Amino acid sequence: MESVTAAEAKSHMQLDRIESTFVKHSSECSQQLSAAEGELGRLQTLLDDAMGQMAEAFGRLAPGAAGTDDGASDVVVTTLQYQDICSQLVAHLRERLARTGALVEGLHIPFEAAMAATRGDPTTIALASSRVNNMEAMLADTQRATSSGPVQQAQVGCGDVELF
Amino acid sequence: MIRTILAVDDSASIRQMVAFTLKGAGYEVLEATDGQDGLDKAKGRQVSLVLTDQNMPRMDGLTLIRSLRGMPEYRNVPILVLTTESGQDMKARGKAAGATGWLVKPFDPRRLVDVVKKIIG
Repeated sequence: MESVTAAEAKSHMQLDRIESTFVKHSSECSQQLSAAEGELGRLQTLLDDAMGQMAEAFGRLAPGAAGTDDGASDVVVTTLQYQDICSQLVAHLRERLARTGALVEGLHIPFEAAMAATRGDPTTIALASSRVNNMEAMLADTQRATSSGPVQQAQVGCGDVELF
Repeated sequence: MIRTILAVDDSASIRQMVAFTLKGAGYEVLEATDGQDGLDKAKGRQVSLVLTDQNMPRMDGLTLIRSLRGMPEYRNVPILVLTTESGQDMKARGKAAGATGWLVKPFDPRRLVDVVKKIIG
């Protein structure tokens, strides 16, 4: 009898260790994703500031630059448009990271259910089971929202024109 | 008579580049910051051409096009979409909404002027 109790105690200790390791790792993943999202926000701010200053300077030079034959103003006009394109790409990345972070945070729910099942805790199993349904909806929503980005450009160049 | 072009984009830099390019070609440019602003500014004005982004807050480009096409004075006004979106599905939706053409960002300034001249002279 004593040996069974000792085995159960050992098993519970192992489960506790598995659970705490899982929680620690998923928490770290969430923090890393959140930090990456914040860094992208800073990148966005820097990009906006730099391009804003360039656009402002171009605005002062613009009256004399219009219609120049060397094409220099055309190059500036094309290049400055990348602020908008990069902003959209960064926004899409931030959206993807935020949604992935939310999914990672939700991973503990089925894990808790599995642990509760192991420990024979029906209340926790029922609660986790209902929350898993929300996770399914969140996953489908994330896949739909991030399936295609608004920006397809992979290099600097002008886009196509199509008249209907 | 100077023709007026309504440029709708939530990006200030894109509006600036569009205005610089089209004003340089002799057009008057009226700027709007999103679809709703574009719709408000279009009402009661004589606009020769509308150039609109697709992804914007409050009202996107396709919704703006559908709204304008519902107004008798904008039923035949050319509307070009200027967007980063280049997928065929989006282009088809633009065409169905009533767009006249689809331009993918970044635009080539000379090509934009050529297209506008071809459409409204």
